[in-house]
Amino acid sequence: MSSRAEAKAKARQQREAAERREAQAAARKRRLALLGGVLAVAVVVIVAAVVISQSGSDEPSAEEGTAQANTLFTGIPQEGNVLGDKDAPVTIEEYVDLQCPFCQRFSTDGLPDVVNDYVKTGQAKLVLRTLTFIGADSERGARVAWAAAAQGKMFQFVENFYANQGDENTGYADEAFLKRIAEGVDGLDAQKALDGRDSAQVSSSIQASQAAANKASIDSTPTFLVGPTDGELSKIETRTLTVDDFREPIKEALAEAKG
Amino acid sequence: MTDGPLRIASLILSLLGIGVAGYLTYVHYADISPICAGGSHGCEKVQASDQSKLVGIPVALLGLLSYITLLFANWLRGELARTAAALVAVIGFGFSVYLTIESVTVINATCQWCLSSLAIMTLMAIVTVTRLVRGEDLDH
Repeated sequence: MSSRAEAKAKARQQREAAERREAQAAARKRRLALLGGVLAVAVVVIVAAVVISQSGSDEPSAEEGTAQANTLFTGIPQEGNVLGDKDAPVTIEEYVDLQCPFCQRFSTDGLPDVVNDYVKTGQAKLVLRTLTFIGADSERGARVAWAAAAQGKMFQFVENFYANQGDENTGYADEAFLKRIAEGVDGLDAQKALDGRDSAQVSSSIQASQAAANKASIDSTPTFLVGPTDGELSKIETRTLTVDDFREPIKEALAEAKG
Repeated sequence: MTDGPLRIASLILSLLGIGVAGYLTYVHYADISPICAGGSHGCEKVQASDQSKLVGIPVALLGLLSYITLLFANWLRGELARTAAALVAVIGFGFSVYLTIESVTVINATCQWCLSSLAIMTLMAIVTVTRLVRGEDLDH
């Protein structure tokens, strides 16, 4: 009798254990299915984000940048480090380091509109001053830029440098790089620019830029000063690095110049 | 093994992520350079890149929102919360890997803060997927 009851109890335990195992296996299967669903949804979302990120990229290629460097300033007077009509009522001073990524960003996001809306229309002139605080590649680039200034091609050279900007302080601005950038600028005698980079005039221009920056307490790039030509220039806030940062300061400077 | 240690680990990772992404979001909106060992230029370059935004929204802000979501999902109990946490973490991990590849191959610069976030999101994906798969086994 007792052995029959024991056998029954044992059978019940075995049945319950089997049911638990089955339930656990079913639950595990369901969770694995859930994981599969999670991974499938994640892949779809990630692929969509990558596609959007890639298509949203408005960064021009090096070739497009070179093309922009050669077309943006067409028809605009350029003398040394000054772009535009030298008698324009408003002056915009731009302090840059050729290795600075935000300077590069402004060159694509803001400069074209600033040039088209204000420089080409004769309302403002743009004065470029190069700083070299990031490192040796900055100075190597700046020297050729100032040598190109002697040929009226400083802005094109700087734009082309940005379009090909490399990783900071890796020594990328070597002889071959500088030659390639200079040769990419239409109308620039590249060899003459490279030969002229160590001249006293170039050194003096770089020192003058630094002195002007020190005088205006400028320690980061890009920094912009805007004001009436021959009047007092003031630093502007650069939140978007687009032409929007310039509209109000230029409007005020124009009013001041007229008044 | 209970779910407790993994849940606590996921909560700690969420808080660490909020710290890193929160700092990068602050840096973005304050228009200042992030503090990085050995100079901030790599971080600045990544921050200035096109990849630093997705449909106009700073990636740092998206990261912050993801970590906040993870904090809540990891805090709540139950299978739905564990599934949501795993989903957000796997998406975050995948997108972080993509951004890191872009930063090395296209932007030519790396940002220590972004790499920290990648490390946190990688651990988060491992922990949350483990919690999802082992789920109820750990609860009992």
